Amino acid sequence: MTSSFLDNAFFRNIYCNLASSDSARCAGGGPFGDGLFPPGWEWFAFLVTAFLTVFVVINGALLGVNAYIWGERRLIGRIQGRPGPNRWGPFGLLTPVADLIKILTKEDIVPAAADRLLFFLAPFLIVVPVLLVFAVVPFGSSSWVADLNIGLLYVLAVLSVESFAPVMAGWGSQNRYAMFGALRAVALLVSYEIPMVLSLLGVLMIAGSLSLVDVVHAQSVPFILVQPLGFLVFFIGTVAEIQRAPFDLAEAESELVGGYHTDYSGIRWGLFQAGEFLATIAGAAIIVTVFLGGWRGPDFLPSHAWFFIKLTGVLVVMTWIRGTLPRLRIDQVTSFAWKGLLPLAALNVVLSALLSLIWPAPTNGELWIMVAINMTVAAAALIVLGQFGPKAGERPTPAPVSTLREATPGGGN
Amino acid sequence: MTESSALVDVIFWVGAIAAIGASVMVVAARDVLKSAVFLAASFLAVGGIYVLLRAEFLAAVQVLIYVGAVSILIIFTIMMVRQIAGGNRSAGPFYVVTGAIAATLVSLAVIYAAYNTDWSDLDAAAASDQRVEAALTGSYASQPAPGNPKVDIIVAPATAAANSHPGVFERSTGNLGQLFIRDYVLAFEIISLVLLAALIGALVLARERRPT
Repeated sequence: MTSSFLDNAFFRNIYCNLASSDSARCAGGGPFGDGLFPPGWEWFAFLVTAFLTVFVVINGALLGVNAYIWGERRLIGRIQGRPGPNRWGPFGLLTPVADLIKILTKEDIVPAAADRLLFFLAPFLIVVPVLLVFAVVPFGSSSWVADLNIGLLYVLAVLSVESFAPVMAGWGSQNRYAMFGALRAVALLVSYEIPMVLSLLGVLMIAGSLSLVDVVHAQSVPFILVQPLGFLVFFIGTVAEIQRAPFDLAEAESELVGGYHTDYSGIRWGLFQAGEFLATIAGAAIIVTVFLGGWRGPDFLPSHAWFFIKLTGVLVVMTWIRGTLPRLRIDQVTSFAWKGLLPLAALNVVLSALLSLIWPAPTNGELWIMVAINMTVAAAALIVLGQFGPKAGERPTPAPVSTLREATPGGGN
Repeated sequence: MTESSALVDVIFWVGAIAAIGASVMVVAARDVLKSAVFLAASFLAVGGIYVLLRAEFLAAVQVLIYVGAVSILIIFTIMMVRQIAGGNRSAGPFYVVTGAIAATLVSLAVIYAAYNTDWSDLDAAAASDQRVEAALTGSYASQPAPGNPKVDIIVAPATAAANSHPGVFERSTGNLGQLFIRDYVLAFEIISLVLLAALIGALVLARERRPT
């Protein structure tokens, strides 16, 4: 039996109080009550508990989005030397609430030429896959909705569905700005998915499992040290995949109005916004789980606290990047993925395969030897790769993108 | 097996009808891009059926490769090529006839294969024999058969923790990996080489010839 949300004491209590007749799952716990449901109705108690778990996780994630939007606006304000939102509530804490009320009361406009099916589906398609990611994230030493034995692959697969949203929004709007935004978004997503998937292979070889829970258990040394190249590629790939600055060229305000969600208003636009910030939190959660040791940490704090401290740290770094780096051009973005990240990821795969041939089940000491080897190779690879890029202070010559010359999107005519 | 078969049936029919409906819409939709989106929906429904068959790895790969990569590349191509994007070009008789012939041949092959496969019912086998169930879903131990030490027989339920293996469904990802990059590594690598050659060939054919 694969472990599920019933590993968590809180939800196990609820389940066993609803159906105390399930002796297999409730053995050794409790004292539990008489059970609300008669024997034979365990499946219903299971459903009720599952619904409660999902409710808690989804609403926690959405609350996290509100908190994060506030935190990011304050922090970026600080970086840019301005106060940021500070009117509503103490330190402007109620600003997301005010924003939400504003979004909900705005008129919902649908362009006359829009393809209604695609236009209406797109906002949901950007939120749902990201919420699905939270199903496998271990938030604490025994807190997860499900521990799938294909966990990491599940995350990658579910996130790859998300790349449909920009396409459907851009095509459904029948608007050139939206179409260009969608084209850029797809080019970006296709380019960065490959190095991202490759960068995780090294982790899988050391952990020997795709399950996120097992990956956390394998990290007696955090994988950011064992897999520095993998971490670098995965972190950059994640920032690109969720299209935050400096990779936000798909919704570049100065060129494309709002990119693929130009024509959306009201709550549909709100869903795009929520999806973007949810994706950031989900990406950070995966980075914490896979490379930073997840919920592991010294004992003086509970495991959940460690997870959220690390999550906040990663989110602050992402906000810092967003506040300080200028936006990249499309040809820079794609050539960086293919000529920079892909070779690094491939090198990491070969190196990790060699090391895991030498130490198939690494002990703590062997992991530290891997740290030394991988760090050296990573530094050397970055120095060598740096010789091919533009030097400091040199302006890169814009490459003619001949294949994109004829690519005038022909929506609507 | 733990799932009630009525529930499995319902999920199967929902997935099957979704897959077939989406496939019909691929052909019926007038907008080419919408066809591509329905194609992705069809892939997704097939992935759901894989989950039902407890091939989680296959399901995840189906979504990752077919929905996330193949469909997206098709859509990308459609958006780049103005002539396709604008119109509802009706196919000429040549395409209708060749398409019909190809579709008939493929469906005949699939039907032939389906009728000539031994669909022995795993559920029934597992219900009748505890060892089959253990080998599929639970954990089992193996020991050399008496009289023939080259053959391992399954002992269920596994008693000693040291000698117990996870069942086939519990370890399908690991088993697939074992087959791909240990037992059949040469075939696997040759296939990737062929795909790489196809990729480079397509690039060479499609490359814009610059005046030198």
